[in-house]
Amino acid sequence: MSAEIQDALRSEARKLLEEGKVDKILGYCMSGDRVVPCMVYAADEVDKLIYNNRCKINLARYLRECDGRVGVVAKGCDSRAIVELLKAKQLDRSDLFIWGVSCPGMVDSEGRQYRSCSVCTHRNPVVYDGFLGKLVEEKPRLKDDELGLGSRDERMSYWSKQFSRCISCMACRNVCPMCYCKECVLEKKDPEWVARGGDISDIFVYHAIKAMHMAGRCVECGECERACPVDIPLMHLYSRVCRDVEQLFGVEAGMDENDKPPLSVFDLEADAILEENEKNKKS
Amino acid sequence: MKKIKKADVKKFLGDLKKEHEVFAPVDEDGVVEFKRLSKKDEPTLDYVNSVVSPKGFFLPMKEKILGFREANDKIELIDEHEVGGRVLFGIRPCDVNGLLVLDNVAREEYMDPYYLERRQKTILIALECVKPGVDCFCRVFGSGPGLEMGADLVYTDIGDYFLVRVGSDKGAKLLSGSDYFVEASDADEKKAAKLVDECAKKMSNVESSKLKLDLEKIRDKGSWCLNCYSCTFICPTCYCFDVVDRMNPKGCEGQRIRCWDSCMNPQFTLMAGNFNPRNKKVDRFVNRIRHKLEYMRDRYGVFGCVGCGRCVRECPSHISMLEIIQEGVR
Repeated sequence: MSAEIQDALRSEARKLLEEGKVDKILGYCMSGDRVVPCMVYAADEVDKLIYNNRCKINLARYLRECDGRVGVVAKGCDSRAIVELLKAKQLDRSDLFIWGVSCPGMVDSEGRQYRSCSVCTHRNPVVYDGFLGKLVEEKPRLKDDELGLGSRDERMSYWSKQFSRCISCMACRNVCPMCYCKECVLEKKDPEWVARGGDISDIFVYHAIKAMHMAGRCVECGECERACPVDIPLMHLYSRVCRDVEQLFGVEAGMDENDKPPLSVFDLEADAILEENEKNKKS
Repeated sequence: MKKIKKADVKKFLGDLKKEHEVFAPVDEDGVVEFKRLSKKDEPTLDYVNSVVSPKGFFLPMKEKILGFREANDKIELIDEHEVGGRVLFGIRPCDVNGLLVLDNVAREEYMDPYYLERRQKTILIALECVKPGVDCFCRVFGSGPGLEMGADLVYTDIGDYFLVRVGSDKGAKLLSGSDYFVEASDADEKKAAKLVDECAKKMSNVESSKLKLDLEKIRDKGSWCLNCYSCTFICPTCYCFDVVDRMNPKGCEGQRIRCWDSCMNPQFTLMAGNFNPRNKKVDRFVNRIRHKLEYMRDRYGVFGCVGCGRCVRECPSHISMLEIIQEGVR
């Protein structure tokens, strides 16, 4: 299946470049034995594009930094990140040509599936201009208590242990497709919300702020936990706050460009967001 | 040369614990980190390498340099740094070489007393590699898999035993005070040398003396760098730090803290007046690579990279230091 997608992608990419509809194509290629993101500018280079079950990298993170008209390959999570970035006016839809591809579930170099992929509920792309391959069946969402963490105290001790490993390298923020702020609250010096050289409480605050800022925006691509050198399962936190936003406002992150970002337009007086979004869904 | 039964290593460490704080690699939920050994901890000695380099034992992620207090119109300074006698057991050759690189920095012009005191008070027991990790390329810089200098004792896994080589007087003292070590035979020594040699043969080899960086290709790779900082934090030879004052709310008492910083952070080179000489991500990437492979070589005569492979393993964009080196030698 991935081979079919790859062939189709190459011929589509060639066509689009030859017709001059895009300036470049953002996709994946091999570098040594690793799959890396790459940019293809000319039709005779398209054969380096690949697609297989090791294309885990979320290309939306790189898309943010592209200029010009770009063709991009988008799995479920890439496409959801694109939708979120469109909602936040970080991308211009008219500059993009999106090839939607379904995701086989990504694995690491030893063939183990990533945790974020094993709980993924959106393997198929949600927005695209052309679709390559076939749709795959979506898996139902796991129950909330999937981590089996139990009571508040147990959760506290779980996360205390996880965060005790944190080296504050900020890779989780820097690789996140949704973290596009020019000035980040986590690094602000005045006022300094998160102290540099602080203790474990500062690390808790760091992760709590990051999680709150992911509310209603996390597309669950798992880049954060893959980038974390000390393997803290960060996506759990972000999924958790997203579930709350879904319940309160009826919006799932990255599903529809026309959804109102709940926490940006929230108005205590008029509790209309929920109704409006539900109306949208019905129509 | 001596050898010690693998089963006796824990007892030997137990004896060391009476006089020193003993740290060794411990596997916790699949993450191997150097950890102060408690009774129930089992050191992991067949590991590839710790996720974060052990440089933190000498240049901690954060350390109190001094305390200050204002009372009766006078400012009082308090020396708050403290270092006890430590043993680092099972440190890999690449990381020992990383410390030798850092020594150059700490001894240059302005001495770094905190780092140097820790270095002096820490006993290093290295563990040579007999099985290369997927991303290891220490052979390129001669910083592994065997170790010639820099550790007090050097262990090599030869099956049921570890062959033990003495690297310093401190190391010799540890051996003479312990009953667990027996004389090794010529065959043991040959076996150890062969295992390390075989390990080296499995690794990439590039003649680093011929290195001449291809800046265009580096910029090309750098265009994919997300500036996530993780490589700089886990690297055994990255030493950049920031100094911050943490005040109590009244502002009359506080501490001066030194903590890790990253050259990948745009604020790292931000100057007054908002001028930033390395304003672009790719410029910061190129600087990091050139610092490791050119500037340190020109300044200290040693490469700033020891081939531990951590950055290769953790890079979210899969940018490979080894590839950069290979492209520079071709």
